[in-house]
Amino acid sequence: MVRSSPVATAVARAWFPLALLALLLLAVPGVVLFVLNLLGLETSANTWLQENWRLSYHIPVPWWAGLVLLLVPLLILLLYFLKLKRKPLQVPSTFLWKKSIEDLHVNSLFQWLRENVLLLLQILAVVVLLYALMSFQVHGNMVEGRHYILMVDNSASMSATDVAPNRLEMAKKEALKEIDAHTDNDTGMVIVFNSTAETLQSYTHDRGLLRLAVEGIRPTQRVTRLEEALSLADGLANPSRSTDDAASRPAGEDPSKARTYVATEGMPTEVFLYSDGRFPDVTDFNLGNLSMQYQAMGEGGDNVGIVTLNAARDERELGRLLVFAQVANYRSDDVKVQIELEVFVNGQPRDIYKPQAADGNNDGTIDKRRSVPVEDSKPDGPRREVISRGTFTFVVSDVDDRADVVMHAKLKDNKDKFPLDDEAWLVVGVIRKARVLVIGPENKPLSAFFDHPATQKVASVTYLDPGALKDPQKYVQPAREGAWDLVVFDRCAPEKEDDLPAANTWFIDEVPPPWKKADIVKDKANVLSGPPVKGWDEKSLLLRYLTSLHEIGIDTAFRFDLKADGVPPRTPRLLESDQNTALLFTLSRQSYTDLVQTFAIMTDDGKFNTNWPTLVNFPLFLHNVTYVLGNVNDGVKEERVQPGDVKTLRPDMAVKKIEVVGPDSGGKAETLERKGRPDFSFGNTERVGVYEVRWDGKPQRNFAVNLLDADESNIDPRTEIHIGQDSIKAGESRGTPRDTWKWVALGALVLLLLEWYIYNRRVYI
Amino acid sequence: MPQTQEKQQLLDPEFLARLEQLELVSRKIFLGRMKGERRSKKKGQSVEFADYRNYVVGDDLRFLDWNLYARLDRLFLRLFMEEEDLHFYVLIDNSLSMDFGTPSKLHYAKQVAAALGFIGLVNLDRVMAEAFNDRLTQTLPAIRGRRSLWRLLDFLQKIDPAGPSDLKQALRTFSLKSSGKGIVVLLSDLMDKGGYEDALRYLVARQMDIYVIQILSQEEIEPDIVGDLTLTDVEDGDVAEITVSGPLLRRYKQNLAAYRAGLHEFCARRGVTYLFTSNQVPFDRLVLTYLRQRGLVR
Repeated sequence: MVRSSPVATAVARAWFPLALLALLLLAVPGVVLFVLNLLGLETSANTWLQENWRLSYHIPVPWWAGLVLLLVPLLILLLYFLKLKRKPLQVPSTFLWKKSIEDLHVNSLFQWLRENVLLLLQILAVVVLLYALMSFQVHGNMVEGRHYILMVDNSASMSATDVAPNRLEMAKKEALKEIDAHTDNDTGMVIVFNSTAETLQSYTHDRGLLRLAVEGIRPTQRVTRLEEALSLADGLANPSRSTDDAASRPAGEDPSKARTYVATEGMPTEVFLYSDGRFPDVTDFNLGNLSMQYQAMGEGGDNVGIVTLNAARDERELGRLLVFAQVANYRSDDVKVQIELEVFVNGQPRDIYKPQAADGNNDGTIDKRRSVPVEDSKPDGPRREVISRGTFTFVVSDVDDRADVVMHAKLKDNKDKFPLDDEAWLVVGVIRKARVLVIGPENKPLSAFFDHPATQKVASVTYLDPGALKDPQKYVQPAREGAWDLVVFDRCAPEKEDDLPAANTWFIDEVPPPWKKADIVKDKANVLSGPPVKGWDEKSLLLRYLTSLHEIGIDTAFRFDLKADGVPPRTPRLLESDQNTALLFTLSRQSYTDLVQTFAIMTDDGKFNTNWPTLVNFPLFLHNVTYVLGNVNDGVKEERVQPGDVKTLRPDMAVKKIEVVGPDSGGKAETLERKGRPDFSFGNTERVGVYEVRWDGKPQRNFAVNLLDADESNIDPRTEIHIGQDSIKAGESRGTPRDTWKWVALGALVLLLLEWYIYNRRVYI
Repeated sequence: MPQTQEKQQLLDPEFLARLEQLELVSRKIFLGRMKGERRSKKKGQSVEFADYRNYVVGDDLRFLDWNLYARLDRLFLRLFMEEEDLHFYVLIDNSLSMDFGTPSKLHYAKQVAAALGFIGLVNLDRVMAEAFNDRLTQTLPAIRGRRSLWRLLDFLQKIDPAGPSDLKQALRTFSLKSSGKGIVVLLSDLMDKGGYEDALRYLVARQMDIYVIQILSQEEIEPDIVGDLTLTDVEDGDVAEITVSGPLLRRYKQNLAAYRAGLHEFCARRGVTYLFTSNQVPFDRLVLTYLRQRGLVR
């Protein structure tokens, strides 16, 4: 027998542990990447990989499946070690066996592992499978693929639970499928939209980033508007002018840092819209290069919701409030609605009110949705849907007009798929009085109005002489601090722009600085005698309800050149004379409005310069000026605030900061600073409910944020949407043909196990 | 797996007819007790001339060679070969380990014992049989003649597997007990943890003509086992945990070969004839071919 050389013997002994070690080392990078993925660091890892190796990876299995797969090699090793259940067998003698065991030391761990080729093959197979699953992508030789945009609706109606768990989750799932269906050569973008739109992920090849963006979408309680999302998508597909034009690509640019350039003719882009379609059709938009695919989320319209809630004070009795609530039935069955109104006065619950006899349906039954012909004469023609509404009236008496009243309307025992609109809130605030300062010589028509008891209820008026304009105590300091809402400069004006108040102003027979009336009337051509009123702006809030303004007769006025330097373009002209002359116009200054009237009401010698005070519309005009420019709030005509809207808050007094406590904030206040404005803008109105506004350390006011949107409450998904000239029908949800690899991978694992079994039961090596 | 009682016929008539042609051969000449068909060391009264010796007073005058006396003038006595019977011992291991294989090793041993015993009986040898495990369990006293065949077969049929084996103790007892000399055939698997050397030395010391026939089952020669097993020794309950693998099986076979080689060498050095057989070798072939080649029968 030929003795083998020592080297050959050493190799024969060492090859197995070395091979095992090599395999384990081979598995290390994969294991590290898997762990990073489990820890949610896939993106950072991909960035590093791309920078250093031009690689990226993605594990398209849930984290638990990844973990299981990661444990398979260890499991195989463990199976080999822990084959504890031995089959008993009687033999004539264990004599020779024992001797053989001793010879081989087979029960020793590493001796046992010796030359187990199958173990090596199995671990190798699993390691290869592991790397296959990571679907590595080599970057650098990228060919430009398709462009696609995922638009995901996360408005309030997407929280409807008619599909499990809700529509948004379904939309996200569909969007993820779409990402999986594309390759890394394709460039994708994620846009989320509600009342506004936001690009969550700009164009990228990295599907991991797209996935992260989609997975990060959270539901909102906002309403749905598609326009903004379309204009975001429009940017690259249909460029008008772009700095990212392909022509601007610098020579020799590093491909890894390259930006996405737009071809000059635009890029054909697929847009996948995941929504329930409950947004107003977009009429003035051309899809152009955008090819839109719409997937309707949701199954039905099982919803009953409050769509209107408002209140009015009884004209005859200010302490009596009439509250109106409208409930819409989107179901295809009649529904009997029970609604109640809970009233809190100054934060204390007062009572729960039942509605008075409902209009037309005394028992609260609201008809089901109906489909009726658009034109009655053509019963077979196009049809439209009619949603029935029931109106419920509550009478709340003995409400002090200085009390802060919060009303909470709620549908009782209403089980539907969209609970958000089953309740609504209404805040009837304290009447906010306008703070008015009148500076000027005596003016009887003005003082007659401002001193009237009716005006006194909504405005507190201060009078100053023109001489006080330079008095720091009386005028300059308070004006800068925003002590007034409206300052009326009657035939006088501050000298410099800096002295203009932080308030709306009304200049009568004067102009705000830097212009000066004295300079204007130096030119006699600018002095008008008896100018007729030729036209007026009926849409202006200041001229609301005003008629027959052409009856105004004016003795003298002056002409202000609206094209002069410093005058904002397109200045609204409220009253116009001939020769392109404005008699009444508004200038905007920061957030304030300066109303300029180029004619006096009373002359300095106490005579009327105009007959306007004798006309009926004059006190109406003053009423409008006081309410609009004086920011009067009668407490019931609270502006409607929907989730996501910006709420403007005007404290009654000049405070530097206020605090707002939201409905779900757990008492945590958000502080707002004034920053040179008389009002505060609060944008974090994401949740429906009652928000509390505080200043001076105590609650001062409440405001309500409500959905109250008939479109949003209609959760029946639309099967067809219209964008510009195009009608887009809801498509099928995407199948997942690429998911089959999972089964193949599973098959491979099963094969491994089978192989293991066969090896141990039937075959020797 | 242990084979339970195999009530098969040990010998069939046709085979018996063939066995009749054979006789047991001893390489040594032993003293017999009775007149038989074998030469004895003793000079006796057969027709076969053996030798001369000087006449001494008292010798039988009938055996004087008168012709020699005439030529040489001296008296020589003619000596004739004495023909005596032969002691033939069969030792059968009936320990539990012999109850393995198909047919079981014990059955195989019985068949061989029956065949050899029959040959001895036919040739008027004194045939004795002993069964043993850790001691002598059953004994067949000396029998002679064809007519005693049924006793032999009856004895063999009654041997059942039992008990652990202790070759040394059993053969020691046998050596002390049996006085005669002759041929000993040991039928065993010789898988004794105590070793075979001391045991065989007792036989060797008796100056007998020894044949050791080691019988193993096919399962022991080529184990057909897989997986993870707990092997239990059927005799002493000893346990060995093994995981069957290629290397282990190779090692086992190497060990078995080494064991056989050791046994063979031990026997060869001491003038003991060793024969290895598997229970798969037809026993008639063993008797008619292998034992013939080894010179036990002719």
